[in-house]
Amino acid sequence: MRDPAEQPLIDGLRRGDRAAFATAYDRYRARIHGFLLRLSGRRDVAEDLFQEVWLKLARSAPRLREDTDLAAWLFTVARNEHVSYRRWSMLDVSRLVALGDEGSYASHERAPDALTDDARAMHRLERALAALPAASREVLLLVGVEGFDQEQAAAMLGVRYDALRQRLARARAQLAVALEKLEKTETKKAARAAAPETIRGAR
Amino acid sequence: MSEPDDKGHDLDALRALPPRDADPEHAALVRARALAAFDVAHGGDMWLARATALWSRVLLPTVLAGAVGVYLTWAVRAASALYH
Repeated sequence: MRDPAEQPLIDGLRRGDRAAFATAYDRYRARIHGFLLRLSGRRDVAEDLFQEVWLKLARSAPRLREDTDLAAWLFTVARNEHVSYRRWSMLDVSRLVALGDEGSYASHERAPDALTDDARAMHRLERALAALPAASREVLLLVGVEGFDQEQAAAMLGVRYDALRQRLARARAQLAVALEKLEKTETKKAARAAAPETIRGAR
Repeated sequence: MSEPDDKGHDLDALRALPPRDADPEHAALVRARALAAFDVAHGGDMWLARATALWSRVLLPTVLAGAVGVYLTWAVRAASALYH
């Protein structure tokens, strides 16, 4: 839902107030970047799209409607930028290879062994999220990570409410499967790592 | 396919994921570029935009049309002089 406290920010953006733009940037920078990073799965792509989002806000600021929901506006633009990127990638062989590499950022991070239980669970969740199809990932990011309500998310994705609910249910089921697979893999790895120690201990 | 938990614990876990901010250098660069674009959009460099529009939409076409007119007049006169 739109935060009424943001009205002065919208007014400032429409007026050309640089401080308002800086406030909007500081307020939403990390969320937009995180959304794009998790959506694209690639830091370089996320950085390019991140810049496009803010340039778009800068250029569109004078034409923003008075009742604009800034968070929804920014995430809609970010999502559309990612859709355009994917569409162009399909036509560009070099980028097509990069598309297959989506989600790689999550697997390049610190090894789970070096993390606490909570951090390990978060790492697993990031990896499971990265393994999902883009359509499932975006709905989980908007509703789960960013906390938009389902009606807002439906509007942002340009789908009907019922379709959004179905897509969300499917995405949650896929996430559960991905998490289960990762847990099994980690358990096997841990068992394999522990096995030589057991043998050494027995000697 | 296993079912997600009905109480929405999976969504709560997603909500708890930390934000992933941009690299500070990149963030500063984007901020500067976006602020410059913001100024332009609000008419910060309006004089430059107006001068460019004046040159490309009025002055340049006028100069070209004038040059073509002068050349055609000269050509017609030269041809006429040769004929006579």
